[in-house]
Amino acid sequence: MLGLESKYAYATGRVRVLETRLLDRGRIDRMIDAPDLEGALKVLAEAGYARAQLSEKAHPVIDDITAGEEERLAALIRETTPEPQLVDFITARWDFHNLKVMLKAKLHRVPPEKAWARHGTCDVATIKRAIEGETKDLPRHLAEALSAAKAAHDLHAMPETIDIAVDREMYRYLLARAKSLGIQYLVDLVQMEVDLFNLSVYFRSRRMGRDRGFAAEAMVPGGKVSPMRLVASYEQPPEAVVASVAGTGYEALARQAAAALAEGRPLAELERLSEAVMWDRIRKARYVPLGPEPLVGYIFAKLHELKLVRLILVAKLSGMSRESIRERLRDVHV
Amino acid sequence: MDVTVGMILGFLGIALAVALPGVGSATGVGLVGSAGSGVVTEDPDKFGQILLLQVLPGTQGIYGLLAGFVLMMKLGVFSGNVLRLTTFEGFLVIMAVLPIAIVGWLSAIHQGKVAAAGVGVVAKRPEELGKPVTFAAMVETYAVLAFLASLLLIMFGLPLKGVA
Amino acid sequence: MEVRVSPTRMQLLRLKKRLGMAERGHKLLKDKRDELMKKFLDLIKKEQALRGHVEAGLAKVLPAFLQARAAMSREALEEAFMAPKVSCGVDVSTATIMNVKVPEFTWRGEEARDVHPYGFCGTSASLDDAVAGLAELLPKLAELAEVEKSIELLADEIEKTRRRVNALEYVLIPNLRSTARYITMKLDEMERGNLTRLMKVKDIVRAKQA
Repeated sequence: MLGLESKYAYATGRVRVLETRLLDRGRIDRMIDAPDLEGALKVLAEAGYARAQLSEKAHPVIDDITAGEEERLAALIRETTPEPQLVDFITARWDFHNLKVMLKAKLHRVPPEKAWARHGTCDVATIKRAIEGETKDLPRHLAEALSAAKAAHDLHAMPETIDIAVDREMYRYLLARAKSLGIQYLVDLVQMEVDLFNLSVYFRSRRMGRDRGFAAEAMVPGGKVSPMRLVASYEQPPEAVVASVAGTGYEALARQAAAALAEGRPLAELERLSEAVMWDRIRKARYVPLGPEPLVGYIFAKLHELKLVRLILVAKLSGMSRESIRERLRDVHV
Repeated sequence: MDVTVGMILGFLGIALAVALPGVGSATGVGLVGSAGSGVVTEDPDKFGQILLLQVLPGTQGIYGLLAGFVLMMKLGVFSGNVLRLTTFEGFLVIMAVLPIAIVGWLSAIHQGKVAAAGVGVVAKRPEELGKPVTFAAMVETYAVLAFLASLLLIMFGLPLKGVA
Repeated sequence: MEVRVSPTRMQLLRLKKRLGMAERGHKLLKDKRDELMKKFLDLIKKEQALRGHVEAGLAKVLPAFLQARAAMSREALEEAFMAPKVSCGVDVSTATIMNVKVPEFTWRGEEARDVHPYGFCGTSASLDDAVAGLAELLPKLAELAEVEKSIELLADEIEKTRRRVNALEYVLIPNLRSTARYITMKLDEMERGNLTRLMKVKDIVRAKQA
């Protein structure tokens, strides 16, 4: 009768302490108010971030910090849970990313070095061999994504078809993984991610002027709102999408994004709203006393935090004003 | 010595009284222990407070053992002359221990959950230790009530005579 | 101004011819300069409008790009732009404005509609805006380059023409004039000398006869 609760008790204990070390409102404010990048990094260093020092080349530092924290998060999962597959929710993205990189490098004859990410679990040689046809060392989910992407690219030789095919396989894999772990909260979060992704595809591809077929192709099934329902309103005025998502909790987001689309305002708003919706759900894990939710919630909260950190640091680096940073972060945190 | 069915049932009663709350307590203490070691890994200073929370679900096991002891005395286990119970008396014994057996078992697990949740509170606000302890102690009430019921039943409700 | 010419009638004739030519050249060059100036001003006006447009466009694109950078990891950004999608280029030919060779860039790009070479996951909507904005600006940028280069070349040409006009107006023509005057004076003087000499001779001859 305890099952998951005792399985994740240790993780819950650790996460409860780690949660106190997540960046709170005060720290975020101090980062925003810091006079420059160095000041913001100092706040991060205080908050226990590794590698938060300024070096000569400022840009890579930001990516180093977030990558370092992701590695620490993965290590935490490996240490605390009997379900190492949870790590997938951090590393699988990078594996799929690297697959895209190598495939694009091969099909479009461009050097892959700059885009290659180091934090995947699957090494470059394996993926390279797999693309050449030797797929036996490649994990199955990647192999499936590879063949899907190849097939899609054969049909339309555009670089984005690779991305779209691989993305779809990635979400499919993450959804299946969440379901196989039997953690409903995790399934909810991934489904929510899929829904928000589909909504962003809807609005962004409309803004790009792509046709309905393209949008339907780029959307991912498995969320709470089916892609079919979304694209049904594709050729109608933007407000029509609000009806498609009625009763799902995304109405406010859809309404504001539709207004932005109709008035030609930047869609960056959409991303802020998505983050806010997601954050709302992530926070709920704090009120679950025991079980896998605290750990899962912490994983997503930390990933969310890393996004904020990147945003603030890049903004600091480029001297964006405090007000516009605050505007970008509205409703997104705490 | 002839063994009667009643004796077997009586011993089963003792076993139930000791074992079920014991299992429950072990589960509860284990749960709090796991959560607690998670906290201690990150913050070793909290050991004392967490230990306090961890022992709370352990009491049901003690109640079970106490009920078992009283029952053993009643059945004359210590005098070396075990009462030869009739079958009906055996059933009565089992009925008498059921409150502590069932409530002790389940309440220990629930108390473990509450205490483990309390560990989360301690991790965030160590100064608020009193509150999670109170929450966990509320669960204890029902274990105490059940223990009381079982104890009264065993002491006064069992006019055991045995087979002549 | 020193004049080193033999003051002969022949020279004077040649000088007069040169002067006439110089004056005609001066007038022509002046006309050319004025016309160049007019063209130049037209181009400047065009350039200002274009530059305003391009700069306003860039002012929108760059913050969008920055936002995209803030929302995406370096790897994701690199990956998004790994493979190009729309190829474009410029055909360079030359046109002439008032005999000045100026470049002419003809934009040769595919229909700038589907310019986004990446998928939706891990990329930001700001990136879409930035890419679309740049795709729209690129032909304008080529046009701006064409206009600005033309302006530069025209400015050079105007400068050169003006120098020539000035040289003609302030150096060559006054020189020729003064030389011609000098020769005329010299010739007149020789004439007068001759006359005096003749009169003297006549006087001597008359004295002898008398």
